[in-house]
Amino acid sequence: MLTVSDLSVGFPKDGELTPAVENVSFEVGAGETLAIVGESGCGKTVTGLSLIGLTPPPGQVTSGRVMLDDLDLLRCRGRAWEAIRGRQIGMIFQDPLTALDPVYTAGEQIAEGLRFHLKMRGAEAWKQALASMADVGIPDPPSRSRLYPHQLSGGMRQRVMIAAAIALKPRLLIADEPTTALDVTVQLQIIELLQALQREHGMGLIIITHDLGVVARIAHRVAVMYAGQIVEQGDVQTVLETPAHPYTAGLVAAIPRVDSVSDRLATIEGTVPAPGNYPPGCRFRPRCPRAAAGCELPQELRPLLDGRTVRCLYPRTDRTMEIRSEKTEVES
Amino acid sequence: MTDPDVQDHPVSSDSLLKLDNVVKAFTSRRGDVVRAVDRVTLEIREGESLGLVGESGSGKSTTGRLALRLLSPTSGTIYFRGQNAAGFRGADLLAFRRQAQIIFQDPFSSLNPRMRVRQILTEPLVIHGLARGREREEVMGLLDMVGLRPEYADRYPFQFSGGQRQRISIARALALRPRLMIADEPVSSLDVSVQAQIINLMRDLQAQHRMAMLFISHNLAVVRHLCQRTAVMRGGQIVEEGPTEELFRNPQHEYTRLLLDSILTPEPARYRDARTEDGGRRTEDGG
Repeated sequence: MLTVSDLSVGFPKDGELTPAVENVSFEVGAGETLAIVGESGCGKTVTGLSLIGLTPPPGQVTSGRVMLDDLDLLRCRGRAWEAIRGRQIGMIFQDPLTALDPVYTAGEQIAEGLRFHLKMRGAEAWKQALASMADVGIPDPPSRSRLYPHQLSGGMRQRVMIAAAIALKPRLLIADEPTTALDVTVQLQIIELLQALQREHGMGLIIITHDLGVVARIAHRVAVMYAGQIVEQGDVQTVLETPAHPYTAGLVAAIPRVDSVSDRLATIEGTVPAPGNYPPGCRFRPRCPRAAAGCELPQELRPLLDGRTVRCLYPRTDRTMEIRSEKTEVES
Repeated sequence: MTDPDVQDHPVSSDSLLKLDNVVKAFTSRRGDVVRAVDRVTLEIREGESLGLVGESGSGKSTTGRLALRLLSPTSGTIYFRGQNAAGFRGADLLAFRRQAQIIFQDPFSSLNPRMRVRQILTEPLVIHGLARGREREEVMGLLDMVGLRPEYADRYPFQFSGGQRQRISIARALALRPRLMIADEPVSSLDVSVQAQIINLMRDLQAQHRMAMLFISHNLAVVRHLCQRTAVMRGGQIVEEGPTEELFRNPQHEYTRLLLDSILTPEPARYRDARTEDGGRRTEDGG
């Protein structure tokens, strides 16, 4: 359904375009879920926005192709997007307060999409809007629908935005941290709702998140991003159970588990480099416990025998190799 | 499950902080009264770490602010080392504040942007008239304790990452060598890899200084990792409280079980059925 090839996005800095996303490629099929994971600043949000022509200015797409079936989305301009956004590709943004219009009530914002995209009449759209609010677990939709965004809690706003997106039953949904602001019990409810939409309508889903628990629950495939590049991509079970890239391995090991206790959590030294400050060669090298000769050169994504791709000269290929549990050290 | 109406522990000899049947009610503009904290009884002993978990709106942050006397209870009593904290005035209050410190969730709004790290760390000492003439050594000691380089003393907060700022917040809280540290979602805004660094640091510091800690979090996995005892809050009330290991292994209250069951762990095999049933076009045999 969606095929992204070699997508790059740059931001102007000192008269040059600094890459924030570089040569990102992936596919999403009907009913399938791809998770894009990584820490803040890795380029996952910019990637998601660029797919639907919303690259945050002054950033711009510098190369690549984004195909929705036969339609080249990067050539789409102006009003052509109206037929695509919302109906074909829905988007759940990370920050509901800026994504919702402050001068319209929650119900109006959901109904507006239904009138515009699905040509529903007033009463019908309103009824459907209330039904969508109930679907995302908003208690008492008739009264909540009349509240303005500022009168709703963060979790409620998030759910209003999700309701507005799924009410249109898009073929593909891009969800940027859709459940991060929600309590765990509500999170599970939203995930189950998204899965029901996939089951019933074959909706494709791109979920952008830093939460590997959410990824494990919902995703079929996962792309791990670091410093603007995909560093590992493959089947969710392969990647999370036997991470081949040391960054993926570090992320998985750093998560405290609810069902076991260890004395120390494994950590990844240092912090994620900002765009424009990427180190030469492998971008993870300064933080990598396995860095060795050759890592000072840029690395390509390479396929492994188990079907995944990895951007590492020394990928971990069996599960007995453990990332060292580092003593807490200075981030620099 | 505890019944706050019946429960009445005496204050034990090593009790550091005790909330006894504490209520905090807020009145909305329309005149509705909401009990954000409803008959909460909790005790923290010297050197002990207590995790307070619950979802948004459960009253856990309000409980933390009550414990620190940043809010006064509507009814009920808060004891600090056996003394009624409501009665603290002047020198007593200052002494209490020295012994109870807080770390906030947002490391961007909780540090004064116009102060250098050096000032941020010495301000508590100046207020309490401590370490006069030894401020320099104190600052260096604190930076070392939280794993920051000495030269950072002359920088401003904006020059640091989120994780580094949270280290500065922790150093500032430690400057007075408090007996009680209240940490309100201290790692929630941090990236996973940095979060692990801060959790390890807090665990080390709590053990080294034998400092009691009230750790407020929505993240049960973090609490399991850090706290000896855990209390679960819902709708302003404590629904279950006990030794962490026991509570996680054998939760008694239905709500605790619901919370534990809702947590997603990064183990895809666990959710294989939930995933494939949902129409994924996985043609390969799931392993």
